Amino acid sequence: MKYQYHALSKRTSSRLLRAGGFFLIALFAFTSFGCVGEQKKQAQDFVKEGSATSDRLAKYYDTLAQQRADHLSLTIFELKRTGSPLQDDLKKAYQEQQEALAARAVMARKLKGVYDSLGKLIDYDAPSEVSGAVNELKEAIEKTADKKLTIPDVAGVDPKVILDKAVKDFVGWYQIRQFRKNTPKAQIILDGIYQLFDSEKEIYLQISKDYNKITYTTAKYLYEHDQLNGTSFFQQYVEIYGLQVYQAPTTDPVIKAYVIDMLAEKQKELNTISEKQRDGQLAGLAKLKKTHEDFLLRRKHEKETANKTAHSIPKSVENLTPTPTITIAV
Amino acid sequence: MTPEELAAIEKLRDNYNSIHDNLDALLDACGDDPILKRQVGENMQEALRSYNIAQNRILNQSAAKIMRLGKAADEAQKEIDKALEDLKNIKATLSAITKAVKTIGIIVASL
Repeated sequence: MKYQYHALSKRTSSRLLRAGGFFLIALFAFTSFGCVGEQKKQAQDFVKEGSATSDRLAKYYDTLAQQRADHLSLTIFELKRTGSPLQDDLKKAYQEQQEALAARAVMARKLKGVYDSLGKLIDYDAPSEVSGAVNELKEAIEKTADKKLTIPDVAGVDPKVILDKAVKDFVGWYQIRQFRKNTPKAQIILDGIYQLFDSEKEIYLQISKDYNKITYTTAKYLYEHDQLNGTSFFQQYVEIYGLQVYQAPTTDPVIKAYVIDMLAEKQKELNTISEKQRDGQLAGLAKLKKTHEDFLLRRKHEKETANKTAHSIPKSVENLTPTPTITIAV
Repeated sequence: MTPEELAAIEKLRDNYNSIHDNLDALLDACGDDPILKRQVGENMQEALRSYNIAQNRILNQSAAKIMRLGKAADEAQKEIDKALEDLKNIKATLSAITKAVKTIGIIVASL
């Protein structure tokens, strides 16, 4: 369908143009409120940190749940040696523990989902998407009014350039505002998860150390019963001479004692790693909490700066200070 | 978890470890007596069960909190997704206004 445009009455045309001018000034006023691009970059970095930290946490809980499952398997092996069958109550206690750890992994993944959604919100290229639509609106107003839009009292300035920048800045500002409005939701969940982790951290370490212990006692048992080749411990020292250790159980008591000692050392090393992993998770959550707080403090600081800027706006545009809605008062 | 609760769990863990860490020695001491060996196994299971249940008691204390946090996360995600939709709707709204302005032109022209 082809549109036909005709000149409007002088009065209507004048009103429409005034509304267009009002719209331009309102949008222009938004450009004086901080650097949207910089804030967007900060928000994107912040969201990436949140997503990565919660993902690591979910994987940590997965590992603990798997370690508990493996502990049960190796316990069943130990019980075989005693001739005592696994009791249902014990099996149930393990299952409950695995379910509890799995629920924590799900919770951490949900937090990741919140950060990922915040990421989509901030990554969306709203300014570019809207810019085209506004230019179409401007052209429609001009065609309907049969006059070019101008900025009142500012002659010789192309409104299209200003309009484009103003709209992009406004939508960018609105996008940041939406992002900031929603970040405290992630913070509340993060605080809860941090408290939970902090209160249960000793159990997490016990689970990890129990796993290190049972894998150590199992390896030791297998080695003592000639089911493992302990001489492979020496492989790294002899291969530089182009030698290979025999793939056969050793009978040398000195070598046997050395390998058992090495296993015990390895277990200690694994316990240190378990502790570092646990502490690393807590430190990661604490760092993310700090990032949240810094982000909110920056917001407070920017609000204060914005208030000061608002006072310095000339009287003619004072009443046009930002509101999140675009209004055209025709 | 309070320090008292942790101390109680650690005590149960030590009980289990006292059997587990000495399993070889205990089984050797049983000689060829399968009943004694089985008893060692049952004692180890009982110690392990008590230790696991004590840990579970602490983990289960937070079950309601985990559910609340999960629910809060679901709601937060919905609201953030809605905010993104609203942002996308700005374009749709502007397009609708453009259409309305064009329609005004047509209506005025037909008068």
